Amino acid sequence: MDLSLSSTQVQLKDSATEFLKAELPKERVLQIDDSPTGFDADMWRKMVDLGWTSMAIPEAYGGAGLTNTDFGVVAETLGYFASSSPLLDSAVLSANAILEAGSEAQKKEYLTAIANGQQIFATALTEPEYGWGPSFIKMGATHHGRNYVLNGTKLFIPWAHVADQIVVAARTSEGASPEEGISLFVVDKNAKGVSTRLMQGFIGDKVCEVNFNNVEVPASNLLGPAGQAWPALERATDKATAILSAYMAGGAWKAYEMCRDYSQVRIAFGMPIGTFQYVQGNVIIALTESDACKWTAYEALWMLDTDRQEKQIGVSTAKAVASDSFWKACDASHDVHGGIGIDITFGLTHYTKRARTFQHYLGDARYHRARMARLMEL
Amino acid sequence: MDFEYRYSEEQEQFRSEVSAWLDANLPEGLAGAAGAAMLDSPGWEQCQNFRRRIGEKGWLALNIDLALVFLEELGKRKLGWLLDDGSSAIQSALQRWGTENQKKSYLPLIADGEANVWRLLTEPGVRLDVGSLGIRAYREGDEIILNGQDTFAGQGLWPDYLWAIAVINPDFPPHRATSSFLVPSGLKGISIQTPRTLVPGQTNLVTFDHVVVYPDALLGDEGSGWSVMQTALQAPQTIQYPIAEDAEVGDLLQYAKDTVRDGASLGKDLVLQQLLVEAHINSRITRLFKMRNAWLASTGQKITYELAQTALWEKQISMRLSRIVRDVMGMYALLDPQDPRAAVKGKLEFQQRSSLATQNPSAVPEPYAVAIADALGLGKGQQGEQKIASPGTPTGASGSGDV
Repeated sequence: MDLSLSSTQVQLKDSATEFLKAELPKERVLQIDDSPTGFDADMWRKMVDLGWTSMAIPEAYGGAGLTNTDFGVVAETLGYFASSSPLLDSAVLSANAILEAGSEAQKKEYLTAIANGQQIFATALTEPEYGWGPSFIKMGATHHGRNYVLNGTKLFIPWAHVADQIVVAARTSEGASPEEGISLFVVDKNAKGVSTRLMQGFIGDKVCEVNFNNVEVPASNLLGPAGQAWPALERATDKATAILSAYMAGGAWKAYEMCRDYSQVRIAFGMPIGTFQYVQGNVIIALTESDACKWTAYEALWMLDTDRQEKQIGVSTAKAVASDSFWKACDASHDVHGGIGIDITFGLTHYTKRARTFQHYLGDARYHRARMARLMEL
Repeated sequence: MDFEYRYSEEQEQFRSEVSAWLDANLPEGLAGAAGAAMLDSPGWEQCQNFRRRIGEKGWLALNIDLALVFLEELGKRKLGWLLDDGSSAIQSALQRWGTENQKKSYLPLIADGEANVWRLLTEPGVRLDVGSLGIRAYREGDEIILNGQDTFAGQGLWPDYLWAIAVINPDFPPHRATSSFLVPSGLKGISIQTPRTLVPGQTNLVTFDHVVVYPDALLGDEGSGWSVMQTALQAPQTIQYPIAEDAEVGDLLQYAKDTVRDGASLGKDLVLQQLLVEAHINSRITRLFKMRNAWLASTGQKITYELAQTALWEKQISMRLSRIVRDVMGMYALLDPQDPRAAVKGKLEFQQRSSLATQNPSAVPEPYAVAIADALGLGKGQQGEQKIASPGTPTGASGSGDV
């Protein structure tokens, strides 16, 4: 047993911290969030230059071939600084979907483009009847000659508005089980019939409604055999889910730190509010939630890296915890901060907003507990 | 990172030996018990005899690595509680603070399972509240007189020795106010009452009425009693790597799989599934927290809030598990082992009582919250603030950035 970071991970963490500390003060987070696209192209280019888009991609396809835990260390730091970018969706989820399902030629073409930052990929899974299991993928794709034709709507899709390509899950046939009949396509975001709309609200990373109106996709853009993509997609989402959990652990820790520090400087009745039991209780809630989030996330990443038999249970444990821990840490932090906490220039709401968004993304706690029940054969 | 404990060849060989011996020698009566507190008088006698036999094997004084294997093998047989008697803490205190005479007198007895030691009820990492200590000590020539009453924890119906903390210098600062004593329980003036609580025998009131001891009963320096006990409770050999899975949660999950209601197993009920998995996740978090604590201790890193955090977490989830057990099992959760309709040998009825007792053995969870707040420096303003980062872990370096 050794819970320390490797020297590579320490270096990754240090460089990520240094970069984000300089580039992403809370004022910049707010500027980016308030911008029309929520996307900072200049920062994205710097992330590419740091090699972050290539971390999860094998060396054979232009990547660095680092481990999931390595990526998790960077993700935790990104979460700590409330960074928003298509990194998870492009360089982890989409990249792994292609890696798991794609042909050699597709891997070479797409993964190289993702790794060197030439292209941004999004992955479109969820629909108006929102949910994360295979039964919620209902959008259809029909085979016509050398093309597939896609019709339907994908909803809450992160970063589709800035993506060059979208990995789309669609149903090409009905099977005996919901897992059967699901196919993955790489769709050019600018193809005829594809439209994106940025969704509005109290949302962290930007999400889109993506409509497909008789979109013709060459059969060569099908990833793997038709109707058999679910296992590959599940493996890809597991990796992204564990890394997202690490991101959420970083955010939860920052929410804890903010309330701990504020409780030391805010004076009420002549003494720091950290003297009061109710305030202490909330600081402790934030601390324990963020610790639970961190350790379950890193255990899941370790299980993926070492290909443990129980890795799927580990990933769902991590996300079930992260989905609730991040918002609980933020809510406890708000209880400590009072009025200042809801001032959007103060910084705490950067985390609150993301906690509520990522609570659902890649499956909420209820979904992952149900998945665990199935995997544990309850 | 590596979340798996790697066993040496020596450990694996020892495991084979222990496993074979336990299979051949484990008394039937002990196999069904969920804890020492479930044992009646004959059961406790059987338990003591078994501990002596373990002691004869030399397995009550193992090094950390072999002790872990032994605990795991007991845990597989749901008997991890057999060693949950605090003996590792007193052994640790004797090894570090004991005089040569004390080591010679007590360590072999403890290692042989011949000495049952109860200690003052306190938890690692908890702040000393001198006013809450019930025993006072004062010198009278060569003698030290102990007076007062306090709560002690330990296994069994009667202790052989008491490890007490007494206030000896009431006017001194707290860190110099107390002394630690290891005394035979049969001394004149000592009386023990076991209150009738939800878990009989978990806590005991011990009264010292002008009990005369000599300086050789002091464990550690005079005035440093609290520090001696706290140091022992936080020693690496006391903070052990978590053994096996949570037996209560395991029993509950198995019950849900095996029990059919209205044509389907309880585990298939969508609402109950959520609760069952929540219980499983909570026990996983406990295990990870304990793993972290053991790793910090074994690598010599500073432990600040972690032990109190784990204790507080365990108390909270114990109550939560209690509710989940009732939701899943219904009335069956309340049947004890004596009822022929009892499920899971009545072990989860014990959980219903023990969760309340765990929550409040001597106090509410507040001492743990205070201990964490102290470790975080809360309430001390910027001067007293200690920025806590989990050492060596990813968030450790995160503390440097301001958003």
